[in-house]
Amino acid sequence: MTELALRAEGLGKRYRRHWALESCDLHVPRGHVVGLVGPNGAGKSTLLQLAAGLLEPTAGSIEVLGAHPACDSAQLGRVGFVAQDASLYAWLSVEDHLRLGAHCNASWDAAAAHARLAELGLSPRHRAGRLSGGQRAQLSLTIALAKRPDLLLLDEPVASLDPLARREFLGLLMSTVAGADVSIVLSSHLVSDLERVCDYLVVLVDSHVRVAGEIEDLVAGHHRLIGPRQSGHAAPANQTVIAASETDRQRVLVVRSDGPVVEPGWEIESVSLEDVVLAYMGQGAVLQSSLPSTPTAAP
Amino acid sequence: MTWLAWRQLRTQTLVAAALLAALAILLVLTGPNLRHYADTVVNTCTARHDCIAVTANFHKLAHLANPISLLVIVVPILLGVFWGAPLVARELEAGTYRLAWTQSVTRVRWILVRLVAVTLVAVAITGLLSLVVTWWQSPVDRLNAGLFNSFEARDVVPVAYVAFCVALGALIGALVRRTIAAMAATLGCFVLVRYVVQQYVYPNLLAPLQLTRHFRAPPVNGNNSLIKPPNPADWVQSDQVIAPSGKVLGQYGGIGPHGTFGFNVSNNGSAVFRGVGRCPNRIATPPGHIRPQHLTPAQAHFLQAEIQRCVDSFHLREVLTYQPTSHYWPLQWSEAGIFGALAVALSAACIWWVRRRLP
Repeated sequence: MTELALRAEGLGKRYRRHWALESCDLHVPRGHVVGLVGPNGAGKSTLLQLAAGLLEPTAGSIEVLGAHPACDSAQLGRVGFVAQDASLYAWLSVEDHLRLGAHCNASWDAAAAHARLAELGLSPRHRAGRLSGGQRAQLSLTIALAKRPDLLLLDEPVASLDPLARREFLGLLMSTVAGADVSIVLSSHLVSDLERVCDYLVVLVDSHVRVAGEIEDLVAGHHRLIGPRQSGHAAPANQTVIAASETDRQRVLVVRSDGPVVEPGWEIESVSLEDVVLAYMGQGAVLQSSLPSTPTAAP
Repeated sequence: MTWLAWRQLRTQTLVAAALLAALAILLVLTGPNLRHYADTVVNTCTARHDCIAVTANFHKLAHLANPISLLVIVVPILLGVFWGAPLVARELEAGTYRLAWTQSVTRVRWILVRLVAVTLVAVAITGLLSLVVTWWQSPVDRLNAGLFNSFEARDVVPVAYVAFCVALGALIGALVRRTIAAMAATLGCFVLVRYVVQQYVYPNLLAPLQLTRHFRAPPVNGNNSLIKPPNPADWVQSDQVIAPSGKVLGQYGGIGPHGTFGFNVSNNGSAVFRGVGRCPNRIATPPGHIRPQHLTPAQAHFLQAEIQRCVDSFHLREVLTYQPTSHYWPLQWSEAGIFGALAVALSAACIWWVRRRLP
């Protein structure tokens, strides 16, 4: 279990002139449910496709479960992938998709796959092209799970689903993998999707990884500071300012710090996960650099 | 993976096999009749002096000959366009490559198995089609003495064409990534390659044979007497008239690019051999009353001698270049070898591209 689920060093992917992902460093241990969050076009899909071996990196390197993605059939068998919009063969039936999985994977849990379909109420004779978005996502997930992967990658699995189907999909995902020794990485542009199911978070903005870590640590390590607008110092000295905003009388900072925050003259509040993500996703980076004094990272 | 490759090919294979079976039944039912008529009635027509009527009747019986030959030319293109081009392109377009390439099958194995499966089925379909059509057409081909006329629609060559066209389609599909565009480009490229090979490679594959004789003026009264190849089914590539200097003076057994033959004769009989030069002798008007187009045998003989004297003075040669019927099979195998090798090369390029450059 010492190998990492995901290890990226200086990873980058360029499409013609545009860098979809740039100088990305990640060390995600196994055994987590990882949420990959960021606005549309931040590079989430690119990162997941690099991990699945569908894309080749332009720069740097990526390792998945200690090996190069898609390097051989054994490695492919260890990684399950559910693509955005659940790519399926529209003219193949549900049953045919399970046969496809059975014929293309050495370790295939046919019984579990059929049981799951029965549970979902999916008729095996339906053509995949006739299924609803939620059913397609469920079938995709069923195929990926029946491979009995060590790592499951889900690219925006719930983006096209209505709120009820969303809840159902994530609920089923969690109950299926509960107790199984499988790491999961799933992406979404909504924190609310991920909050309930993830214990690890990677925030991706503008093709760069802004922050990554266990959610507990992230929530505990960030604070909101509220102080007078005309305070002498722009920012507390031993903290990194992630986001800053000003009202007429007040100045509100979201800061990251490793130790306890004791700041005279500032009111200190704890933050929610959404606050942290929004701080990183918002114009945080812009404000940070435009602050009068450059904040220094906490030691 | 073999299962998926077959599943993706199953419906179209069954449809193609059904169409082929229907055609085969039609040909097998009509073929023996045609053969019998050719062997008995047509073969003995010279004795009965009714060859023209009998041959016309035979061609009426064999009215399917042209459309069927066309079918053998068209089917390899259709299979390349409709089976080869979408092979990779449709997966990319529909996004299904993300499902296919994340199963426990490497991309190289995926494309290899799919290419081999499609090529095998296309080769089998085209091979059977060519076999049954070649059999059915053999009495027609024999009567037409056109062994080489339908070279591209008989025997092994169509099989090599289809292997090439499928590989071409798959590669273009992987490069273009759009099914419809790939289909159009496949059609265009195939026609272009076929044209280039047919114009520039095929005539030079095997050294042709030559027949040379002293150039004779065509008879003033009667049919032209060009040199004939030893076998009427031989493929005449050129029939040139050549000066002693080696300069080619004309094609088609005559002078000039259109193979004409004629003199400009002035009133006093001095004459110019058109396209060659001034005659050393005068070409005198034959004795007696002359009705145009109706020379008496004596007058024709007189004129023929005058003309031949002029022609002889230039010491021209007529050279016939031809592929004998014995070259048919070596040419078939060479042409098939060229397109087979191209098919292998394009398949390798397609596999490399899918492995290295996609998506």
